[in-house]
Amino acid sequence: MYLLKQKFPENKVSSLFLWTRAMMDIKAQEPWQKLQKNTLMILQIIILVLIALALCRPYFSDLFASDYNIIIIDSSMSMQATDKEKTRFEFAKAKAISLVSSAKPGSYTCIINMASSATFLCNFDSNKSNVLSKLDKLKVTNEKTDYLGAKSLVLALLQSNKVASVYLLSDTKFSIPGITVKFIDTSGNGWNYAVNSLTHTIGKKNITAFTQVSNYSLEPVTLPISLLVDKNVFDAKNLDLSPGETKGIFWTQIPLKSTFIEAKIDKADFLTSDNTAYDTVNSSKPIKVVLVTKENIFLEKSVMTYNNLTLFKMEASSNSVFKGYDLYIFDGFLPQVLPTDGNIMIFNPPANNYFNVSGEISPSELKRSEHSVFKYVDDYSFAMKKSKKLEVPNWGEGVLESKEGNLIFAGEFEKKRFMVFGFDLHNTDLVLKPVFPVIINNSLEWLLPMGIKNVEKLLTGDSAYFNIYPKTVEAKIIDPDKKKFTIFPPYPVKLFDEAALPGIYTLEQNLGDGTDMYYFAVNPPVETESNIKVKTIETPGELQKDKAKVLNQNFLNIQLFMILLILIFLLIEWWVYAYGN
Amino acid sequence: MGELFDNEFIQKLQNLKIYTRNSADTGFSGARKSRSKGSSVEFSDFRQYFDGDDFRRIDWNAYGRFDKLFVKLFMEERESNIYLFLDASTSMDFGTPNKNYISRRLGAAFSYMTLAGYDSLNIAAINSSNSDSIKGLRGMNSFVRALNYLKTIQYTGKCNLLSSIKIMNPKKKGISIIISDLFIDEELSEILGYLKYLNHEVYLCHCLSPEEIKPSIGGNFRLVDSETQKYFDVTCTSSILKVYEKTYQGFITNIEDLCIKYAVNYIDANTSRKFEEILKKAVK
Repeated sequence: MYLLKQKFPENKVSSLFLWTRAMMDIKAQEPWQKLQKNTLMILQIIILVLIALALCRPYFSDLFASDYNIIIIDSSMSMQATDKEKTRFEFAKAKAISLVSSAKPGSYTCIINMASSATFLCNFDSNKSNVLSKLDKLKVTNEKTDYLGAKSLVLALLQSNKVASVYLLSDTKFSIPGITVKFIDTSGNGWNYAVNSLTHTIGKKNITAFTQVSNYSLEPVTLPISLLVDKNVFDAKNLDLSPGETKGIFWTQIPLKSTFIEAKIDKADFLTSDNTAYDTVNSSKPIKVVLVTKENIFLEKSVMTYNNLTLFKMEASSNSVFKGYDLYIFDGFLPQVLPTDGNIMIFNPPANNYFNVSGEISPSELKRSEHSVFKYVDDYSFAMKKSKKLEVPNWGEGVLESKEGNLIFAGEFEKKRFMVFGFDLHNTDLVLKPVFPVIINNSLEWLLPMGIKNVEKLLTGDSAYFNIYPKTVEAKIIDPDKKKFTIFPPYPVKLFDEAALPGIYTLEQNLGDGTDMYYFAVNPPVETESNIKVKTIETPGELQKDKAKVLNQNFLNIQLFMILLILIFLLIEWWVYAYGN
Repeated sequence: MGELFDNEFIQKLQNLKIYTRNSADTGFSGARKSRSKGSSVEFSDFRQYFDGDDFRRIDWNAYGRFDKLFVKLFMEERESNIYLFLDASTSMDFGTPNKNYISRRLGAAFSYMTLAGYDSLNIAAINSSNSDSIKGLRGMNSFVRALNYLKTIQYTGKCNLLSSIKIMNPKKKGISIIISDLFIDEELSEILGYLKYLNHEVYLCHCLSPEEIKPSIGGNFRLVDSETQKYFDVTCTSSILKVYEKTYQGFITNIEDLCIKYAVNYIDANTSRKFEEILKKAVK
């Protein structure tokens, strides 16, 4: 190659002055040229990079650890999933402990426990060991996630303009307007199957149950489902499900005498709490009602339409003994001593020792009622010739009012429920209106103890009020672990809010001369918790508000510093251009 | 001396005078018109008589005509300072005819005209190894000395025009004549600007040889700079030569533009031109 290298004969010229310039012109016109070292070009590239960086609004986060830390820890049912080292909750708890431990000395930590309601575990406590001890005791639940409650708590905490770092340890991501939330994802790659619901219908000869099952995984699956009746396996079926699919199964020929029904998935997944659904079949004890009247065919007929009710008639007499009925209906009559073993419904009451009846009124315009007795009643156009003027006692509340006074009131007195109609049904055309049987039915609903009436499904974490018999001495609720919760006495009946476990619960009422058992089912919140893939909850429009205004700024914004650098480099470039070379 | 001038040419020089737009008003009385009004015999102008004026200067003819007293004014004759800067770098010793020959002949011609016009002559041959110069030559008796100086110039090294001019320390107001090929690293605008700052009339004689104006080489060559010995290899094709020609035109245009800007007399001293033609531009 050296030998073949072309040799250029020397040609001495006076100066390469013009030749150099000529060659530079030739090189400048070449389409592809070697990049020349150029100070100005390098400076301009630096300036462009700085401008691009400045436009990105860079900042250092957590450069200076905050004095205030808010940690939201999700303890809902989905956090029981075992697709982390132990469970998601254990993972989240470990992270929370790590955050608290590494917080700078003297900083304040607030822990929000997010289950079916968001509550403070501790509120800006600077004592780390205290916070850690509370965290250690925190347990996962079978409840749904109250992210809205958590949002409200955080916003309330930051109202005093505290600069706080907010951490969310959950498998559900949500944003809080105007707040920078550091989301620590506790979800894994696990999959889940769930029994969505279990219901039944009672036929003449047997019971039919219906189960809905969902596949919350990414693969098709065949799930073995078994049905247990009164704790014994009654039937088993296989169900083929595609990813994300929900299907139903009917179970027939279940004996009428059955009380407890369970539907169960017999295949392992990462969340077992929702693999079983529960349902109860309560035997319906006939209700005994006595109608004490001279003659009131309208009332008699409308009461008889009520389900599961046996109506007895009695003539009004001061010698009559009133005992052994669930409901006493007195029409234009009131005994000296009211019965104690049932509730009371009174029409056209005479003067008595239980409430004041003063004179008569001729009601004109009736006021619309919000009481449950007038549920589904829109027509208030019935006429009334006259009515007793009722004074609502302090233990009662008005049900129907007119301009002239109260016409109906209801209340509880001496463990008995009272509903008092001030008018004789014969003095009104209400009995001819379609709303009459509705009003009577609603009144009986309110007067007769039927267990859980208004709650169609009770989920873990939910709460409910229970109706008890008037003669109940003591009422308790027993959970699936046989733990007992007394809801009565004292009066009034306590709200039951201890439905922590899914399963069959029992309302046990000691009636004095016997015990009444009522069973109800508590099921896990499958709809919100069973899909255990990490979720992002977006509230439309919410994220747009106050986006520019972040309350808890805990970062060092270096955009201004970038702009300053740009100006400096511009000055340097100007100087090089003007005075360089 | 015969190689620089013959008698015929020197006779032609006798009728030449360097025309200057500036009027010298410092120094000794030389054969040049100064705008200052002095005591010579050449009439210049009239002005009104004031108390204290020399009454011998009163023009009585003007009095008879206008019935007012006027005095005559006469031109004052002062000498000019002429500075001759010759580029004595290696690049000037090149070409056919050789640029140094033209450069020295021009130098001799300007020297003759200066001394014949009773002006003060200062000559400097500029290169990186020579700092000699001769200053304050007056009268034709000094012409031989000027010629000898020109004859002994060594063309070597690089040319540092501006610094050498500053070393000469020219006086304010005068004439500067630069004879160079202008293949210099310095900015010509700085040099001209400095001389104009000194209020000099500047003549720029640009010496180039035909080989530099339009090279006729072709093929692969290693071009070597005679001053720096730097080189680069080039394949001289017609397109390369066209680019060189364009570069040369740009070079000349740039210099001419600067001369217009600084009111400098540009003289194209291309060595292929006749000597008399070159001098015509400097002649009144």
